[in-house]
Amino acid sequence: MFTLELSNIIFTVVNVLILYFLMRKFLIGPVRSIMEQRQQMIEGSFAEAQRKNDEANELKSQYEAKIVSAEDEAQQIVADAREKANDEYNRRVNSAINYSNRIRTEARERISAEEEQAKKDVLSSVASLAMAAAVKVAGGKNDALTDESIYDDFIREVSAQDGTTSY
Amino acid sequence: MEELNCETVFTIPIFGGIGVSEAVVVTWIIMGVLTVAAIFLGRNLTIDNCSKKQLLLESFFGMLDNFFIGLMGKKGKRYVPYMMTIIIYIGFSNIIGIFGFKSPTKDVRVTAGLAFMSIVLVQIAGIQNRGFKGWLKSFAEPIFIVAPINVLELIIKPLSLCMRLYGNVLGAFIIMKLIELVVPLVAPPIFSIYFDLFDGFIQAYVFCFLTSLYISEAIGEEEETIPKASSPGQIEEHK
Repeated sequence: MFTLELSNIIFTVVNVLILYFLMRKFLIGPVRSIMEQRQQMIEGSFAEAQRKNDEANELKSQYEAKIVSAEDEAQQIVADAREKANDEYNRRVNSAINYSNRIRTEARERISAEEEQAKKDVLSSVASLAMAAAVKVAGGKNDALTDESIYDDFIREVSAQDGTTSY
Repeated sequence: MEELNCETVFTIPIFGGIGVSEAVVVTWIIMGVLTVAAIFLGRNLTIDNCSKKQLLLESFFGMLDNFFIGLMGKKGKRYVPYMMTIIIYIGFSNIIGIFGFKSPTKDVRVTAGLAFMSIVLVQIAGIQNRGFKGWLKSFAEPIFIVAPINVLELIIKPLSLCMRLYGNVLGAFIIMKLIELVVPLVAPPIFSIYFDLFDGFIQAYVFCFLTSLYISEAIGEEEETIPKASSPGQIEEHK
């Protein structure tokens, strides 16, 4: 019942060692490697997710910076456009003012020229009337009555000739 | 008494005849069954879309992994496959009585072999992790005076492992036989659940628990991580 012969102990040792290698080869090894692979896969995907998250955050901050700069740029553009428009407006207004001034001076000059011309015309017609009057005086009697009638005729003639001219 | 004897099944006719005991033959049977099961279970493992078989297998080995690494620490990871083999083998041996075989662990020569391997592994673990000098020095810890006791432990530890396993399995077997004699009906299956199944697994657990404890002691440093929750001492005394 209680015998400790060496041979069977050695058999046991050998058996257990063989069983150990068989188990490790066929069961424990494969199961462990699968579990480790899965662990690595999970860790890998975690790292990947972390990396992508970081990337996304970086992109986000980049975009935010871009948006800010774009807003600045837009404001700049609007300001530029406004300035240009103002310049253009001023230029146009100035040119219009110049133009109108020029037209006014031209008109004024023309008016004064025409006035001058009218004066000249009046003078010349007065001269011819004076001549006619002189002819009439020389042709008629030289008394006070006729003188008066001649004078009246002259006035009447002048009035008929130029209604607007009065003295 | 015949039932208690471990018969020599046959004799190899060299060196004046080497007897091969029943326990060794049953061990071969267990090895065969386990190997076939291992080949069947270890095939077609996939990383995702696991079958239920694989999930069970993984949770079983994950549980064992956690148990042994919890005991031995990260440094003891390399010894985990051996401990797994031992716990499966002893567990199987203890309950194989249900199938009509004689448990190999009922043979003191088998438990002696297992205990011998355990103590060798403990020493190997010590040498691998502390170096040869560190291993030698570890006998003089915590103080030099206890060195003889530490050396004695080289014999005491495997002896206690061997005798505990042998005694428990043999005791359970004897009690079962007595119960079968006294109450041949109804009672034996009920008691068999305790003495064959429960006690069988408990003894496998205790054997591996203690071996792991010795290994973690031999590795050193990580002794604090050993959980004190389940103490095998109580189970021993209880028997």
